[in-house]
Amino acid sequence: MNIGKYIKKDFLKLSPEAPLKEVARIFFESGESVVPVVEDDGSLAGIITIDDFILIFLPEYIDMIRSVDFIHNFGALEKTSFSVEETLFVAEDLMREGETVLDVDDSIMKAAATLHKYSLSRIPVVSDGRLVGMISQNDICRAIYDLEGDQWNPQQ
Amino acid sequence: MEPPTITALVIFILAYALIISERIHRTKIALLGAVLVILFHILTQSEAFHYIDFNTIGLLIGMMLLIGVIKETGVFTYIAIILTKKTKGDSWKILFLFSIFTAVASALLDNVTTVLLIAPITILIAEMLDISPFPFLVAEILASNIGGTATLIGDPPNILIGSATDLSFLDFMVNLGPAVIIVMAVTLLLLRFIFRNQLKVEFSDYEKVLDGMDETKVIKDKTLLKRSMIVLALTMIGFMIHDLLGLKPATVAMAGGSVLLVWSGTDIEERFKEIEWTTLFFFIGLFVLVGGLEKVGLLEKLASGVLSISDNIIILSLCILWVSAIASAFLDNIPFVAAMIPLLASISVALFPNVDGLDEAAYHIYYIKHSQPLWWSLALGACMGGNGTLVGASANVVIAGFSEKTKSPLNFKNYFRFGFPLMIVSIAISSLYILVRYLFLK
Repeated sequence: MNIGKYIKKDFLKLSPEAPLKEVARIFFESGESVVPVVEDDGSLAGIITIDDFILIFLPEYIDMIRSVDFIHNFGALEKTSFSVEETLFVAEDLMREGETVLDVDDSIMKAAATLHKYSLSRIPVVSDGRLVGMISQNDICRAIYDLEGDQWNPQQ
Repeated sequence: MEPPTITALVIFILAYALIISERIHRTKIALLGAVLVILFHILTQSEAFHYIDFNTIGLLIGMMLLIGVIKETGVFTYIAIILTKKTKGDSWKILFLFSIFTAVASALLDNVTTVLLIAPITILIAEMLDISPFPFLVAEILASNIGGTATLIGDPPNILIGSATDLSFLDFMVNLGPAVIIVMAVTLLLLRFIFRNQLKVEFSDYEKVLDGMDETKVIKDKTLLKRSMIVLALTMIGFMIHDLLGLKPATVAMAGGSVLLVWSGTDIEERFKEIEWTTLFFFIGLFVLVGGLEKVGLLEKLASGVLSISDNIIILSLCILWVSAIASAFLDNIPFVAAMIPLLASISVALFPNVDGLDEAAYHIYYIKHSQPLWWSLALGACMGGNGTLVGASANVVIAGFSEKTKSPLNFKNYFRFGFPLMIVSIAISSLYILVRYLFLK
């Protein structure tokens, strides 16, 4: 069974040149944690995860410190890290390319395993190189119990 | 030269050239070189194993196991917070206390682990207080290499020297400790002067930041902390008295490591994943490579060449000090010291021949005792020389890596401006120390 009928065709997307503020707005408005980046011709350029986005505002050495439980006030770091004026990044710079993509003909099993392997909540689905939709872990849940129907019907 | 001598020399030179070039990982080269030494019948397999020094390998493994558990406790962050609070936000005091902390920790543990634990929290605290981390990171590089010089376990060159000479942990502390304290004091004074402008700034909100840090939240497992500190303390005591106990330092380290493995209830698989196998196999390969040179008698020839220039032990010591320092500033000090040790042993034997017909063990103690200035010079030069450049020691490279994530990253050039002159100062002080202690106060 393939993922074609379970994908969501209605989704927000970004262009590779979108500024960071636009990236932030899309994450906020869509409530999603993964957003596709699409070229002008409709082909998929890559994806941006919300984690990668937030990470650019955190000092990179933070991973080397085991926990931040002991800090209540980040002092000057709070101001400098979250100063957005200087950032010259655009969507393309924090995009993940290539690896994380599925084809409309791929199976539910492959989708579920891929989402798990990459620890992503959703990934883009392409057909002949063109982005046709997104499949999420939520869609997988639906697919598992509602194998035939187009609509989720809990009373069934 | 005999054919085996030429083969051994060619393998050695090629291996060292490749290690220095850093094109291929040093461990790969050392292992391949070691295998070639056996393949070409310079050493038999069992001779090769005889040259692998378990004292060094055992000491490294024991300490790696011990440190692996200590890392988990959060004690470094805990101490760093306590120290920061004591400074009341004064940049110079932070630099001073963190440098001393780094130096002491490097003397007791290995330098790389020390800076891996201290550098991130240093950068974090500096940036929270709106101070550039740069002076602190330069100071911590210097402190880790200087501090590591003080003890037998502080830096790999010392581990190698201690193992080859059977000089004790206490011998190292008594002979190198005073030099290290003087160098550290002078270096800190000079750093205060050099960075006087950067250290002037004071963050107005420092109280909120300092009061907001809660060190009690860092220690997640108090029992683990207590147990690992007890074992660490006992291990250090063990090092102090290993000679009296008739035990090698490696046995003490392995005892500490294995006792803590059992007592801490830690996951053995996790601990063994953190053992630096590449370092251990680098040593193994090097021992066999240098062993090949020893076997064919090349180092004795080189030693007699050196002695034809001068046979005054103080002049030789000063030469060794400066050559080691300059070499270690640009090259990896471990292969350098590994090759210098049999050379110094040959020089010592030639300088202090066995005239009384002592047996082998007694004669070893005799010539080492008399040739001590040579060994201390090698230790001072090889360890402190690492401060000369950003690639001089592994701890430097680790700190440089962290600094890339700050606004003023360290690079070869901006570090060299401070590091190289300060290294020269430390070696000049060491020269005076060697002269005063082993010539005038003899």
